[in-house]
Amino acid sequence: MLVKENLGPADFERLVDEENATASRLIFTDQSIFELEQEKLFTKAWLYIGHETEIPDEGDYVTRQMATDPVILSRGAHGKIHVLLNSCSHRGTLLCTSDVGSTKGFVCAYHGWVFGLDGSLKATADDMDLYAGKVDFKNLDLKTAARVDTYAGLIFATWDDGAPDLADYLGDARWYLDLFHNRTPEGMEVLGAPHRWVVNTNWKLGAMNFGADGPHAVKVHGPITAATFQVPPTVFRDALVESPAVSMGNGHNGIVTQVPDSLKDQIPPYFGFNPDLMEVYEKHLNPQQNELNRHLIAGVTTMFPNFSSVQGASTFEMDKMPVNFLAIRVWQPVSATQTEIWNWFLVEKEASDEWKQASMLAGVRTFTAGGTFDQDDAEAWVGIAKGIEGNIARQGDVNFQMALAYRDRTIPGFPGPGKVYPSNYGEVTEFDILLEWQKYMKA
Amino acid sequence: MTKPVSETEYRELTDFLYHEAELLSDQDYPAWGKMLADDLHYVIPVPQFMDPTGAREIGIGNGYFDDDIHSMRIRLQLLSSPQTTTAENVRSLLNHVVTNVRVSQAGDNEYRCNSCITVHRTRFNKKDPTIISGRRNDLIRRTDSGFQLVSREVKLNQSVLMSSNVSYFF
Ligand code: FES
Ligand SMILES: [Fe+2]
Repeated sequence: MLVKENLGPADFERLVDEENATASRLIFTDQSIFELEQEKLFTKAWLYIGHETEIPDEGDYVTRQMATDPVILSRGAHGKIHVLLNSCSHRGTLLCTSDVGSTKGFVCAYHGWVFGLDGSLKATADDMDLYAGKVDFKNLDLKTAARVDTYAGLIFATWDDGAPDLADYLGDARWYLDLFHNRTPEGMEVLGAPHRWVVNTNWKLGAMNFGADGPHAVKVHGPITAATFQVPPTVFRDALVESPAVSMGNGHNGIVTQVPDSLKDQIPPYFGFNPDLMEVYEKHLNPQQNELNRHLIAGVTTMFPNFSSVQGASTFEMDKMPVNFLAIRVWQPVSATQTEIWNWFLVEKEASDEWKQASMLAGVRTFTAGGTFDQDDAEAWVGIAKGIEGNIARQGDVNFQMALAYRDRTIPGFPGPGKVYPSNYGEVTEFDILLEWQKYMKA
Repeated sequence: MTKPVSETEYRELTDFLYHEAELLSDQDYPAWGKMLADDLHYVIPVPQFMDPTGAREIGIGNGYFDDDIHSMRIRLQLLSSPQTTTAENVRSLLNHVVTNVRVSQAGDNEYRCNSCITVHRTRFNKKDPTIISGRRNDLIRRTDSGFQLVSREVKLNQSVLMSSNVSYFF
C-alpha cells in the first residue's frame, strides 16, 4: 500500500536521505517498492547461487532461488556451471523438484520435454515431427542466467547481459572475501545442506544487519557472549566500538572486529582459527590480510545486495578452545514483509575431520534458525516489520544517524582497501547498503 | 528385532514423555534439564526433497540442532530468564502434543521410544499459531533418579522452517 504509484527517481531520492542518514520506513513495508526492486535490482545485480563444492561432478545439481525466480544450478560437460530458470519452456511447469541430486538431464513432469544440464531442449515427448517444421526448437531452450561466474568457490549469476564482470562488481570486496574464503590453497567446502527459514520482515534488514550492525550486538548477543566466553558486556562493547567497519565499494560492506589492545596479551593470534593451518594462512594470504586475520574476533559482511557472511569463534565448554565457524547466507526476498533465509556452513578443505565436525557444531549452535545468536536477531527484525506497518508509523524514518558522527572519520593507513571507519558502532556501512540500493532504484 | 516391553514399562515411559512435553510447553527448563543424561545427543537433521534415482548428500551434514549436554545447558540457562533471551521475551505460548508412542527395550536399562511430536507455537507478534511436527526417535535410560533422555533425533516435516526462529525444543 503506497501513497503514490509509478515511483520515479525523485521519489527514491527522497526515500533514502543521504545527508540526514535516514530512510523512509516505506522501503521496508511497501509491496509496490518490493515489486520495483524485483525489476530494477534483482534482475541487474550479481546474485549468490551456491558453492562449487555443492556440485562437484558433472551431472550434479541443486535447486535455488534468484530472488523470486526458482533456478537450477547444474554442472554440465567439461565442468561447466549453468544457472537455468527452473520453469519448463513449454507451459512453465517447475522442472526440477528435488533440492539436490545428480542426473543426465531434466524431464518435465507434465508433457515430458527433456532438457540437458545446460538447459538445451533435447526432445519433446511426442515426435518433434508432429510440429511439422512450424516451430524453431532453438527458441525453446530453458532460459539461462545471462552471466555466471565464480570467486573463491562462490558461484554468482546475473540476468543482466550488460552487468560488469563479477571481478569488477566485487572489486575491493575480493580482498575481504579472501580473508574467509581464500585463505588456503584448496579453499573452502560446504558442510551440508542449506538451512532455510522464513522470517516475516523485509530482506534489507538482514542484509544491513550483516553489513554490519555493531550497536545491536551487546544488547541482543551480550548474554550468549557472556555465557560462552565469560566476556563481560563492557569488554565486548569496547572491542566493537574500537574495531573497524569497511565500505568496500559497490555497496559491499562489513565489520572486521579485532581483539582490543588491552586483551592482546591474553588472547593469542588466530584465536579460533584452525591451529593446523596457521602457517598455511600466513603463506597463502598477503601480509596485510594476515595482519587483519591474526587478531580477528569476528568478520561480518554483506556483498550487495543480499549475500552475507559471518565468521566467529565459539565454545560451549569453558575448558575447550573456541573454534571458528563460517556461515554464509542469502536473504531471499519473498514479499515486502517476508524473507527466506538460506544459510550454509563452510570450512577449509584441508581441515581434519575432527576440526570440520567441531566447526560445524560451532556454527549450528550459533548462527541458524535455532542458533543462540540468530534466534534473538530474528525477533528484533520481525518487531521492526510489526512496528512500522501502521498508517502513522510508516510515515516516519529508520535512523542511522551514528553515521553523522563517523562518516567523515576514515582511518588512514589501514591494511585493507575501501573506506575504513574507526568503529563497528558507526552505522555508516549499514547505511551505505541503502545508498547503493537507492542508485539501482533511481536508475 | 525389537524386544517388547511390559504394560507397566509402556505406561512409565509414556508418562515420562507426557511429563517432559508439559515441562517443555511450560518452558520449565530447570526441571526439563534434570531429565537429560550427561551423554545427551539432541539432533534435528535438515530434511531434503530428493529424487531417489539421483540422491546424493553434500558434506558431513549440518543439522538445525546438534547439541550435547554442555551446549544444551547453555541454551536452557539463557532461555530461563527474560534478561538473557530476546527470542522468548515475552514468552511464546507453546503446546507440545505427543502421539504415536511405541516403546521397545534397547538394553538393560534403556528403551527406544518412537513418537510423533506436534508443537503449536503462538507469539505476541504472530497470533496465528506456527505448527511444526516431527517424528522423534529417543533413547531413554532408567536411572535411580528416574528416566533420562539420552538421545533424541527429530525428523521434522518442514524442510523450510516457516518460523522466524526456533527458541524451543521438540
Ligand atoms: S509443461 Fe513441461 S513439457 Fe509441457
Ligand atoms: Fe545479530
